[in-house]
Amino acid sequence: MSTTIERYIHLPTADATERLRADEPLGAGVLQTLASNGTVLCREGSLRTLWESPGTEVWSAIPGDDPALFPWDDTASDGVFVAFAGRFRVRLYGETSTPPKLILHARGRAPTGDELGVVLWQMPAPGYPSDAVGAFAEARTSSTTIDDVVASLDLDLSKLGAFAVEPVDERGALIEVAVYVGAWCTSDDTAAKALLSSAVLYLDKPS
Amino acid sequence: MTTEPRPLQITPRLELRTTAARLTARASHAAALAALTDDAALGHHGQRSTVLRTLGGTFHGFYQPGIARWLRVTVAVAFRGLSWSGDGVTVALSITDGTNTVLASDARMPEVLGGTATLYPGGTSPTRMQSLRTYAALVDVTQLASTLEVTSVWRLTWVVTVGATTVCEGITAEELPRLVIDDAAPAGVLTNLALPLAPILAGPASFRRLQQSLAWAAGHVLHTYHALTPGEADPHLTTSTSWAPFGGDADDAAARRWTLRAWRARGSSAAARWRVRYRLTGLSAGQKGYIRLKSGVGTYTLTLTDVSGAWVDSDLATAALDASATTDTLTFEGKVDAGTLEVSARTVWGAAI
Repeated sequence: MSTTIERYIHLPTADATERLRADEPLGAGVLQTLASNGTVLCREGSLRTLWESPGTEVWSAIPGDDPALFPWDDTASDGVFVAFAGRFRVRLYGETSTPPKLILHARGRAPTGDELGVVLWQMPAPGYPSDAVGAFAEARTSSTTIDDVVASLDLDLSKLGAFAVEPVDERGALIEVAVYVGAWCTSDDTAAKALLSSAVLYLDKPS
Repeated sequence: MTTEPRPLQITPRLELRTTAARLTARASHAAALAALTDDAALGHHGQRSTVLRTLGGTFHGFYQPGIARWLRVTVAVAFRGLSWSGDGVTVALSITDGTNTVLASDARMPEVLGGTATLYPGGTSPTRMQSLRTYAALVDVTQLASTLEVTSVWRLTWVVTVGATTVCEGITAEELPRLVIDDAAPAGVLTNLALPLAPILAGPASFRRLQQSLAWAAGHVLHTYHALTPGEADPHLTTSTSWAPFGGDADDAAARRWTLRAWRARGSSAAARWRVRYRLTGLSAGQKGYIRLKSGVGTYTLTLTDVSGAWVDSDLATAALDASATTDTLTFEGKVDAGTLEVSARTVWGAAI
């Protein structure tokens, strides 16, 4: 069943052509347009850019070449890129009851014969990333010239957190996600570095 | 003024066929439409200011006030190495509209952001992510609006001071949804819009308010597309007299390409506004600096005229992003008539339609 035509249709306001001024008939088309507009605004409102980083050069491999074992306590001087991107409020995608997709869209290149890897972790709250409570997605490139490298993670509703807003006159509970971003290079060689560049985190329509 | 709570953070599902021609109009339809309108106008604010991992400095972001009441600020603090000498991080947030300023020391600013409270790492292990601790605080935008002009774009200035063995892992300020409906605000519909057996009204407090609230939401619920602040100590810079990538914002001699998703609800392009904080040094009166933003739709140039050598905010500029493709890409380049152009912050956000 349809809830929106996925496009905002502007209806005139506050002038003689306003559809909902006094004594005008309340047509079905007007109500459907309002409902469609509301739904598309909620859907689009669920999606936004969360974070960006210029990145850095990386040259260290990770244990077992397994992003589940990414060394989050390391720093750039250890040859990996490690970032706590932040805690971000999340809304379900419009009326669909489905969380949005979290995208890490970065750019980068790898040394010849090796790979640049990026990993994206969803956690319900800040803490050392772990698949016991979090989820992750990875992406790799072996391109030796700067190219897109995109990791995509359908946010898991059961692995989102919550926080309270508690002022006396306006309070409630909101959903949030804590996001970590890492990058590495399979070369494990300071003489063969990969480049992570222009990393952007954003929310997109769910799959 | 009447207010009521809006406790459910969900978008109601309203099938278009519910109000098809020849079907009976019911009070529940209006109530659902009111809840949907409220969620569109009050539940989806998307502006932010971000400071990346830092060992201290002065950073900036731009913010256009709307109907959001709260900015939630989270500051992440961690150990820098394997030993800790008991130090921490301080964050001082001041906000200006270009004329008036609310200082970090102002009583309306949360203690965590006042510049005097030391924020310590946490955890049980003296390692980076094991020790990471976040501090959250709410900045009341409506309180600040008694000093700051809400029709202006505000600049958030973050002064971060870091101890010898700690690090600030990042700061995020993001708008929160409204949790109450206020019929005196520019948008929002009380959910008792239509009660069973009550007449359908067209006045400003009834159905007409639905349409006005949705139109307002389309124009004022804004999203930040890009918010990068390398800071005043490590700005992007150029001395080129022809268009060139900024130092600090280039890889392999090409400007970095920032990929994002544009707002897709009204045609093939999405309106945007952008502003930078810059400094021009070594220029004479009348000489200028220039920065241009390229998107998938066009190229937008901002002319920078203040050659005083002080950090200043640029004029507000407009742009458009490509909303017809899955993503759009932003790049920034600069040039000067002479001297040096430095950029310590730039923000691109959605504009009213």
